[in-house]
Amino acid sequence: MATATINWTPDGGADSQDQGVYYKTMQASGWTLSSTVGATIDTATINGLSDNVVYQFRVTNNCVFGYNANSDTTEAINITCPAVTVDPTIDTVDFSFNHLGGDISHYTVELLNASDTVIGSNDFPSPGAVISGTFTGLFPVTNYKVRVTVFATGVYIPSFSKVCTPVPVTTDAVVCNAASGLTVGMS
Amino acid sequence: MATATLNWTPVGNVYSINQTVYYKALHDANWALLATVGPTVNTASAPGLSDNVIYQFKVRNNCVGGTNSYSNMWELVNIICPTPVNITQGETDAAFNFVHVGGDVSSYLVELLSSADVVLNSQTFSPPASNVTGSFTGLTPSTDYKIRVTSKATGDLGDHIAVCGSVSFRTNDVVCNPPTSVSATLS
Repeated sequence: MATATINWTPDGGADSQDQGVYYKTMQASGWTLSSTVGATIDTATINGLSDNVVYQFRVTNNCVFGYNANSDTTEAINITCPAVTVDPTIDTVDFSFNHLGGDISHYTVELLNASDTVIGSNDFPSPGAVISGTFTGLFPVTNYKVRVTVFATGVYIPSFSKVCTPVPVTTDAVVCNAASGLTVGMS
Repeated sequence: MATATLNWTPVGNVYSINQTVYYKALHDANWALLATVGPTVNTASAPGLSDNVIYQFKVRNNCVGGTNSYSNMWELVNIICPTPVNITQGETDAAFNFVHVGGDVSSYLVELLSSADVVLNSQTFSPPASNVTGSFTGLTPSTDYKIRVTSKATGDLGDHIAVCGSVSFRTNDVVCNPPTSVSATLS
């Protein structure tokens, strides 16, 4: 669960009575009043919001005689990172993870070398329930990292993203065992 | 200052010698001679009269043998409307004040009108103070109104009324600006 912190600049004029802090998910049609605060308050928090869901927020200045004025709408999302499974061979790395759902719309999976240079990338613009792929052409016994970037798209903010912590992986060693059971005979 | 013009129908017969025109202010005890005119004259002028004072007039037909008779008494007043009518408007109220014109003006009716000249409210000031003040409440913000003053002076023959021009005003706008710079973070 996530907590939203909302900040704004209040009107705070003589006609302001109080302010309403509203929120809704991007997909919802109706606004929910989270709290009513004083006319000069400039911050509020909303607890218990879901991860990976785009929320919209706005503040209403409630004035005398029933007048009111809404702020512009802003958006925010708390993107979590998927648990990535990596499976190396001597020259490949398989990866897979479960789609986070919510308003997450897109993943990029990158392969980094030991210097954190991107040497491979896979794009998943329409992810299924499980995202998986393989990086090939790698060197044995070499350190790599698999890094996932998660994207979401809002109405007012076109792109949210979070770069997740890379998962280290080392390719397997080439197994080069010595021949055994050698026998020699003379005649 | 005002000038009164009197007109009447003289008797003008062989018994009439002349006519004397008298006048006085309402609260004066004694009549003053304004003019002596011929027996067939039917008009006279009374210049230099004070505004807002009720004057009374009568004409005496002086006949041979020392007899005489008086016309009916007539009275008039030149009411000057109070000016300026100062208006201080708020969002839902309007205060007004003006200086009492004095003289024989004994009351004021102050009316609140809509922009379509419909009377919405009124206040009566009788007797008025030297500075007439009042206010109307319950108005609607950002709306056009008028205030109209009617002055009244009461003489022996009844009420003399002057409906003054209305003064337009507009109630103040409610200042209800939206909050600005709204931002939100989720964590």
